[in-house]
Amino acid sequence: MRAVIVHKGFCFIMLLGMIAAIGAQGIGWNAGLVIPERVSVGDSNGIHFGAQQGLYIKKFTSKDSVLVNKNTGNYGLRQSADYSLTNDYWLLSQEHSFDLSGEIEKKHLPLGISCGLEWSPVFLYNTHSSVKSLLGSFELGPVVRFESFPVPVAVHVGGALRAWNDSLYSSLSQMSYMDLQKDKGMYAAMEIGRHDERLFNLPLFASFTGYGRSMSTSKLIAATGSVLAYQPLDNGDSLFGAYSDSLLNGRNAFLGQSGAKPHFIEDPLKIERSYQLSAGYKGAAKLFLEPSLLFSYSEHTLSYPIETNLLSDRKNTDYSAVALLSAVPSFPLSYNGGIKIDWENEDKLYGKTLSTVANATDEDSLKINLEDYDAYRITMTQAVSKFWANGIGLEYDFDISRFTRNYPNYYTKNSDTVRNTNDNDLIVNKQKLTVVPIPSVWGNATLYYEFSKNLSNYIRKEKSGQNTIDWLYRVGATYKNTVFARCTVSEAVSADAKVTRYAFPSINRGNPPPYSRKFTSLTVLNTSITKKISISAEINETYSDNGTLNSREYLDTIKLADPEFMKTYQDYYAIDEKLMMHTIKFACIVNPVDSWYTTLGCAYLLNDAKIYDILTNTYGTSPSAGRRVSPFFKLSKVLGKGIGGNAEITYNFDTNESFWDVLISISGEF
Amino acid sequence: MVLQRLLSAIAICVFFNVFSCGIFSPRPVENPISTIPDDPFNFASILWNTGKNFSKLEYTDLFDQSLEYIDINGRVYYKNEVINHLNTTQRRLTVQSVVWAKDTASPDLVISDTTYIANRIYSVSLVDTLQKTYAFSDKASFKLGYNSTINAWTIFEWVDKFPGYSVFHPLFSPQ
Repeated sequence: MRAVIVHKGFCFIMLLGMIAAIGAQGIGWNAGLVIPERVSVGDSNGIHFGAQQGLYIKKFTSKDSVLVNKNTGNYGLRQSADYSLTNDYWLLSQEHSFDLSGEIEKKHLPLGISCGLEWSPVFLYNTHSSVKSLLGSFELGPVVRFESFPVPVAVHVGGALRAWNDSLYSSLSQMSYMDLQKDKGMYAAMEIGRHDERLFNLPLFASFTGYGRSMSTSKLIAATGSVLAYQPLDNGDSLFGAYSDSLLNGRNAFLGQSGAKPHFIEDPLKIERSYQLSAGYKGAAKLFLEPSLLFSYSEHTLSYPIETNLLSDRKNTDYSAVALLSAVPSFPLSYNGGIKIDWENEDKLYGKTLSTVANATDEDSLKINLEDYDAYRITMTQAVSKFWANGIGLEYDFDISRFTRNYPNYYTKNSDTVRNTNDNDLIVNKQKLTVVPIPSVWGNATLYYEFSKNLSNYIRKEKSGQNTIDWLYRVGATYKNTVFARCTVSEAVSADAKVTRYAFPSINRGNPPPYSRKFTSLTVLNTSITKKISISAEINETYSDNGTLNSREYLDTIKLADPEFMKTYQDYYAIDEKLMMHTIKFACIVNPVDSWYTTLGCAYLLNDAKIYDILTNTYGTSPSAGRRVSPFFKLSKVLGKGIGGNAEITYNFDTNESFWDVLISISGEF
Repeated sequence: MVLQRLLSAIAICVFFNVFSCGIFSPRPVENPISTIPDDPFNFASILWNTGKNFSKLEYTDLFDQSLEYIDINGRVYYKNEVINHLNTTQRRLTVQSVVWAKDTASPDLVISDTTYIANRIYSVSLVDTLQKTYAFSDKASFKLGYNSTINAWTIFEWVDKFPGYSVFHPLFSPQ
């Protein structure tokens, strides 16, 4: 269980920033340039609660929380109680966490100020085998909010106390305060602006959040900020600009496990910063097309100033340009396309000047410096479709990308040049054609053909022998229809073939490339017996095999030189593993009253896997073969007023290892 | 109206055909001198005797894009961090031996035909340039998925039960 002690609100904001950054990776409009929608956060009264218990294979997890909100005209109170437990039966460890954070405030003071007091007690209790450990952390301090300012501001300051013992051999009840190690310090935090609120009623959004904590065992400063501006133009076009920045400087301390027992662990001091500058243009429809353009620059740096031996400092930069084009709905075809080009660079041990000649003191650094790279990545997606009113139509999707990396660094050692030989091109080309051949009144049917070609191309002679080209071919069909008044049936079939070829077969002699095939069929039947009872049945049949495609060009030189062998030799597909998987699932869904949903059923899986035994030249049963019978029960109940519960319980009787899969949750507010 | 539609269609065609100008073509390569893929940590042996194999052993292919390396404290490290660490470690230390043995107490599990859980007990021994030995032994659990784009089994979750920083942990550094 991760139990880092950082201000909870700040964690949430950092998480939002990370999600935005991840979202910006794909081809499409930059997530940082999306105008946020205002989320209204009014004063509320009530109790929110949630509990979730899960058991999967050998790990039990429990998360329970209660949040009490009480607001009157002049006072506000928020008190939460969170408890989580992870019980790992494989590791024989238990990890408990309690958090009782809360806040009380007096509102509507002169000048629109609110004042309050916040507290954040956190307790962690871990056991591993016979050893136990405890950590308590308490932050307490005033909070002041300036709500009537043009820009909302909140300031938090306070004291922090931490106490822990990571070698508790006695029980908790026998422990005294003197058994604990202690640490104290202070924290301060500030929030300025809201990311979803216009600034001064202008098309401008800005927000900043900062948090700092100084303890004698660990010091930490973290901050995030973002600015977004947009300007609609008279001709319908819009311009966008954004800047976002985040910084983490310090070290976290947490209760974890190290050296086969619970331990108070301090992360190495680290400085991590990410920022991104971006600009965008979204055009109004011209002819029948809507164009968009985006440019961005992002930089991420990570350094460990004290743990210099870690040699993990690095700096990543990325210049990115995106062009998007889509057809307006009145155009006869539906069209969406885009091209994205990134110029990337990774500089390990940035800021460190290194010689190009190896010596005893910096050879490790030189070796790591070899991993620096320059790269560019081009991605293009295109989707064209045409569907008529009766549902008949077709769609074509085309995605292609190229990722090119060069490793420019080298050094000399004993007059030899040492360099990274991983310079490569990765090119992925995917195409899919989907046809809807019949009117929708006859049922929903699709036919599709999918093709992808994946090229892995090392440039240098040391690696180019591994260059491969992969092809995937897939054809499939789906059909779904209502055959009787209350009965729907659907069928999906597909067939795959995956082929790999080495670019240089002559130096891969004796090592033929992989080949695999797969055929699947999924039949689903749903029927309603009455309004309250329905039955669902699924039959899934899958056959797959994998092995090597033994063709003449991969024969080793000894066999090639044997005329008797070559006289009768024919290329063949040598199957290493054959897998026949049968799954039958039957479920009865009962809905006795409107708010109750119950499902009772059972799934049966037969995994008939065989692997080739080179000694006997026969196929024997694979270690992964087996049967699994999985009775399951699902229940969900809505109690009204936002209170509801859900339970999903499955026990898997497996010939290899039986296991539970349980998830029970309840949540609500009143 | 017809002219506008025609111009729009031409614009789409021009945009669509950017790929034909060579930017998606590979560079020429040098004639190879070697064919043995690098696998100093012997990841290939994780799937020995299972009927499956890692047909792509380069780290960029072996590890799924969504890879999560989870240490004993539940802390998560992602693909780039793991690859950076493995690359730098194998440059700084010499791997003497790596064994990924099946864990009889926790047999492998087939979740579906494209998802597989392999539980292993590993022991790794490495030496640095001063012949100082680093040895690690503990349990690891791998969740594998079949990636149909590259036609290969890949690792998308790696739980390392070593209490502290094993050689695979992105914060491990030889002292």
